[in-house]
Amino acid sequence: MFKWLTQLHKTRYIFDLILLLFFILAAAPQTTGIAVHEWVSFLYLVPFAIHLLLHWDWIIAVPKRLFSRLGTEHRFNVIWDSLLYILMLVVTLSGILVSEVAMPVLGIDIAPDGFWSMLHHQSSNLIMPILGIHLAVHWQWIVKISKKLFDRKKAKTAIIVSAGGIQ
Amino acid sequence: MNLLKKDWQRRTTWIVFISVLTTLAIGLVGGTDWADGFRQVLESRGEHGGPEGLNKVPMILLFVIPLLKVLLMTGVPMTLGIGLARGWRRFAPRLGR
Repeated sequence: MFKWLTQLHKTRYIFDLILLLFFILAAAPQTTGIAVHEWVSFLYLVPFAIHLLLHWDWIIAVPKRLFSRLGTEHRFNVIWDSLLYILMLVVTLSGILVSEVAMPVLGIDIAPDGFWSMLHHQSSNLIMPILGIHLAVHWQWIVKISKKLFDRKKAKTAIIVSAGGIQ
Repeated sequence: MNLLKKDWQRRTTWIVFISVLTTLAIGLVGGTDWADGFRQVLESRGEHGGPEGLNKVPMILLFVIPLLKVLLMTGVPMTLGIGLARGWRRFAPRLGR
């Protein structure tokens, strides 16, 4: 079995970090330029799909219990994550429909449409605070895994240092 | 763990299928009267160009400010959310939730 499969939490954490970096890059087109913004946004779909794959168990298990014995926090979580998912699709679709660089390069010319342009700008502004709340809701998990990862690194460093001292 | 290895193709198919279906549904919004109304409003506004004061802003800030905007617009709600979640976890048991 692959090593990354045995360390699912670590894999999730690393891919989520990559996803966040991609998001920050894609969300600032004035900083990166339109071309980088569009290509990074296309690439972003890969870690986004991996993010959904890696959290599949949660995606399947929690909504099933939405109308049964589920705490308010979990219920809010399900609704919020669904909202984020739909908004991500809105941003992606409207982004494709107002693409100035990537789509023409791929041989698809789309006439500029004010409606999709407006929707792309508004939804991409809205997705930032929604992502912020998504991160806040999962903050305990982020802190827990961060502590586990960095404590392990600290422990390894301590072993290496002490082994060096023995020599 | 084995399930993740075994089922990834089926899961990916589901993710792509649901995403494409939802995207098509969102795409239908573009053909509604509501969207046409928006288009008319946007056309009637016309092009006004960028803000005039923007030329006076140093070049470096034009690159830094959008990045700062992303960090603030994500980070501030996140910080507030963490605070709110902590408060909720502390007080929810008292409210009997």
